[in-house]
Amino acid sequence: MAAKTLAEKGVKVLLLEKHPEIGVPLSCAEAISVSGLDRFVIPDPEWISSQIHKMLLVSPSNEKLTVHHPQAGFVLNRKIFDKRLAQKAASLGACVRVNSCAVGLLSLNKDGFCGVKVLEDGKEKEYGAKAILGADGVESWVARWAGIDSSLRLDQTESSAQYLLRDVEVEPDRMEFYLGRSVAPGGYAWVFPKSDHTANVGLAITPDRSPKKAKEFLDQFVQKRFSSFRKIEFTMGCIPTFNRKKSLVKKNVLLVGDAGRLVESLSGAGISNALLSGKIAGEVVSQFVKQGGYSFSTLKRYEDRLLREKGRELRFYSYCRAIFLKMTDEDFDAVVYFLKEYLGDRTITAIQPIELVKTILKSNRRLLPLLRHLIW
Amino acid sequence: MLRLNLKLCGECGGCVAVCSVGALELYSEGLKIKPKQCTLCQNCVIFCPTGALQIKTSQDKVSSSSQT
Repeated sequence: MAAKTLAEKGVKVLLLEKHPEIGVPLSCAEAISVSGLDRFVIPDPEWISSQIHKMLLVSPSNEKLTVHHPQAGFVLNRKIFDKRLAQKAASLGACVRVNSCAVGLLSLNKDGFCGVKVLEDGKEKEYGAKAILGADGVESWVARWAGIDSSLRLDQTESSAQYLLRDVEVEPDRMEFYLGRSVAPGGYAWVFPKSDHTANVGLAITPDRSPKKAKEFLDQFVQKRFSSFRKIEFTMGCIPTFNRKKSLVKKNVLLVGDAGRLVESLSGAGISNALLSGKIAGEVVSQFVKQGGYSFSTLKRYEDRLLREKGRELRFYSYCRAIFLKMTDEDFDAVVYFLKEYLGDRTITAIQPIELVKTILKSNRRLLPLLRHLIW
Repeated sequence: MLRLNLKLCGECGGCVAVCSVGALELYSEGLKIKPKQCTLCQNCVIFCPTGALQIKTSQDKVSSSSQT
């Protein structure tokens, strides 16, 4: 998205992808809300696997709540989606290089870092740059090279595992979420349909609170949820949590997406924030380059703009995660019971997350003390 | 010493993210461990979704070789 935005604005841009193919390997559950997608790109059936109109929430004691929410979201085909975005950037003038792995930044001078060192076909090459965007995911070495402490504590991560399953019984327009210590401690399990017989089935756990590995929990969940299935793909991942204390800009280096920890800490959703951060970073860098590439204060506007737009929401979900991690299975049961009564058979068209969370916490005397985490 | 089971590694990069000393790097060819930098804190071992990373001691080597 950043490369596309920069190319649109006529800035010379080089996109480096370390893998031979853009969008592969996949490390994503591929779900996104309609509003999180359509403000950046027009949804295209080519890379939309399914449209979501319903959500099923299952409590630890197997209490089920179905929420009807027409046009709630999409499950994407990221392997195609990412490629099309890169192709769009290329068609606008961006140079896209695959099999090109950044291995360092070129020395720092008063103008910041002057480029990147890259390994291509076993040979080291250097590319000069006025600004460098780190879109290198959760493991971001660009951040470390720039001197931004990006390492995560274990409690700031979710360890996840996912299968793409075929021949499974799912409703193609319904997402499923499963809660409980025995299902996914410190996280949740999901079933995101990609068609009427295919689904991304995964879970995320908080690694330092779990007696077993994410994959072990996932195998157990899959056996319990599906009577028959075929495993097509296995992926695993690290879902970072948002940390407002971590910087997104250092000199002329900017971090976007997972590299900047721009993830909704409760759900683990990151695609929309990655698109937004890429777009804003592209706009700010284009301004910076057009001004000659000397004023780092221009680049700081990226962080300011992003946090002005998303900071409150990202902080809110961090507090929600703190609450979530303190909840017991009984608490989850109580929440699902409450929501069943509260929502009834109503069809939801929009959710006000802050109000909803406050209402849930006020609904139960056991949960009331957790409200203090929402005061900020 | 930190050991990687290549068959179990899905190259998700989580271990790299939780390593505070930069002892792990993910290249297009896979994960690389820098043993000199590793402090054996085990964060990567705890994080790994599949158990691909493990700490092996010299005793482990002796016992595993005596088993085989």
